[in-house]
Amino acid sequence: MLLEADVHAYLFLSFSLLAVGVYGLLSRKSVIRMLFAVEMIINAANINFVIFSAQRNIDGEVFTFFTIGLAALEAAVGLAIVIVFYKRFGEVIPSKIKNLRW
Amino acid sequence: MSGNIYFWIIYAIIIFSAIIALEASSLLWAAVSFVVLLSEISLVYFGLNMPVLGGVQLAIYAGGVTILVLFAIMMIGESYKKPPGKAVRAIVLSFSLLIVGVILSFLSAIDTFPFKTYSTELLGTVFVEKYSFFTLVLGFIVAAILYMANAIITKKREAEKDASRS
Repeated sequence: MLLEADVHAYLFLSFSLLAVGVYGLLSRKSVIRMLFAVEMIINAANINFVIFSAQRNIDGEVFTFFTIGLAALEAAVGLAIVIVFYKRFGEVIPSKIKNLRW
Repeated sequence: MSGNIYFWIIYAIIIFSAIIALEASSLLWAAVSFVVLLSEISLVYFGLNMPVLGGVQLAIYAGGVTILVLFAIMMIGESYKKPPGKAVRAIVLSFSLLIVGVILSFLSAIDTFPFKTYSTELLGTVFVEKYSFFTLVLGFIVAAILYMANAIITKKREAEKDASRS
């Protein structure tokens, strides 16, 4: 195997990615960057699924397929909301998004 | 916590590209860094002998999601301004999360088994026999993604029509 590492190293990678994602989610003011941060958090969870799947059984790998599909859907819906919001108000600032009523 | 040099190189690239994706002043360069991050994560999957998962990660994440993000960036432009001051609270919270996570991983995942290799045939069998219902749902999800991409394109056309009228 090309990547020789034990489970703790992979978990360290996963938690590092989670930490960067949480930092981005809390500190950025751009909706697209917040979407990046959410994707990083989801990828950290995926790495956890995969590493425990590689050690125990295949179910974690199967769950990762579903998670990837759901994350892609979430990105598509989030970007659609961003674009509709931009079209309506001319800017996309998260602190100004209080409601999306007509 | 041991790993060979390739693992730590990939680790460094992943974390560095994640930070660049959040900190780069240009949204386009942030998107490029995001592609690098997702591609390196797929390398992790390939390295764990999961080629199907790595391929799906490359196709859906590094391909589809990134194209959507690039499309959105092209539509709304670079309306990003860096927030003033340093996000000390966010840095402290994320570092504490990292430390707690590492401690918890050492406490809970003490038993390290050797890594297994699953065949694609076994993966397909599990998909069909155990998770067939969820696979159907996944199909609907893919259809929804395509529909949403279509909705975004339609919105762009409407915006162009509005611009030409005014």
